[in-house]
Amino acid sequence: MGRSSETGPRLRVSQPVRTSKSLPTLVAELESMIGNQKPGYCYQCAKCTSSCTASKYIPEFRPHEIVSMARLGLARQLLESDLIWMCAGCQKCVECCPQEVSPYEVLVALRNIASEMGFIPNGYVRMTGTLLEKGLVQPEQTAATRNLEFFDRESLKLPALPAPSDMKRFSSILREAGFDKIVRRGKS
Amino acid sequence: MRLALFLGCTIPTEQYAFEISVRETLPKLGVKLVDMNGASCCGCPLRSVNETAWLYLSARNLALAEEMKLDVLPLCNLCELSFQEVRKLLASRPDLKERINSLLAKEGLHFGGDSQVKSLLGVLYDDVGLERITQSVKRPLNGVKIAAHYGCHTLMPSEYERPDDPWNPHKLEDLIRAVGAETEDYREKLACCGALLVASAEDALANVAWSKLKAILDRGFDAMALVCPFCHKMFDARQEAFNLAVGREHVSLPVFYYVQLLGWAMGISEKGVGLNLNMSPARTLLRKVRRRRAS
Repeated sequence: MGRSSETGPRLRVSQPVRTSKSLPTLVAELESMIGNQKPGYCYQCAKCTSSCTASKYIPEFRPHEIVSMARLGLARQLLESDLIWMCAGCQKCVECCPQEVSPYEVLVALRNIASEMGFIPNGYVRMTGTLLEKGLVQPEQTAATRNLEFFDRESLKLPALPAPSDMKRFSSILREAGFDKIVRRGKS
Repeated sequence: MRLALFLGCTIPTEQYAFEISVRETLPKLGVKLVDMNGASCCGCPLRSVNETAWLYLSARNLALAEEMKLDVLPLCNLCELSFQEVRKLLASRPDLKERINSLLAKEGLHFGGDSQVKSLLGVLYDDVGLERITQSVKRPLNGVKIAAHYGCHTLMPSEYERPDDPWNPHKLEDLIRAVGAETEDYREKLACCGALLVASAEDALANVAWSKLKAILDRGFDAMALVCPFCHKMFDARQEAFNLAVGREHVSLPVFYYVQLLGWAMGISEKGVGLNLNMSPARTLLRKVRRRRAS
């Protein structure tokens, strides 16, 4: 799992927080939730890696190897690695896998467990905070034009941004679903 | 045809040209759009950190559409795929559906799965149809060649209902021809825009997007037409930033939402389809069309 010097991805993640749950418990939880990831079916043809968007420019990111590591029970090494956050999410690997393994979903599962353990890239913590406050993961932006004019929804005569009618209730439901932990960890 | 319009996060907070052109163009083609009060994020951006919250958020917005008794049109490719994924997953997993519905009940909502999920490409090609689109064109885009960029999630994974063939799509190209422009297949057609690398690998992202822009220019296209807000953000808004980051040849390609081109061809003004908001040199293509027509 070496890192090439030129493309070397650097990712800031929040400080890990110990979870009371064991790793197998977390993995089992995720598997039961997603249901259709089967790394055991992979026979390492590497079609996923040849179709992979990220792999072309981040050579050490190889989906078939990640699936293999997950299959071999090396989840902890993956969970603590920046690598699992390097996927471009294009899902070409899902489409071209002859064994219906879905390296993408294996990665999503690993990311969920990593988050549960406290390894969360800052971008996700920010998005979670905005979601709890506004119902969307990004606040309204000012749009610039080529002629250096600036517009927002109001000046473009667009209707007001949609938002949950009861923001308090909305965010309390999301906190119950586990977002509270993510926001607090991000600040630590 | 009446549809609940789901905007997601990226479109209504920054990709205003997409929203403007859709609101202006679709009703003229017989598609009435109804705004969704109370809508929120589809949850997809946070699926990586919390699957439960993702399921809840997608189901929540589908439940809102059900309350409106309408099928839903999510404009964003990520929202659209997310809705399809969650619909299918909850239909096959009653236990999960029950858990999500118990969360939804706190807001007085219920997910049953009654609202169908539409995609913009599907609505234009299958519901409105090429014939009506061709008939609506008043200013054909004759004499320019436009590359189709479908965006990954429009096409795959095909285990979920997708509007076109995953490896050999044709609908966007047919729609480009319907407004009078030329197009052709090209080797990099299915290449990803790289947008989702933004949080983790900016250098790789710049190369992914820049390489596709360069390939399209090298193949003699005059412009690019697409249907996804993330792809547009990469190829249009960040084109100059990627030129700087990659530091090789400077590329300059007009990039459009397909609906912008459609609306303009139907006679809607440049501002009416938000062309003043494109950061790529969009107007150079329209000048080219006008020059060709004059000569």
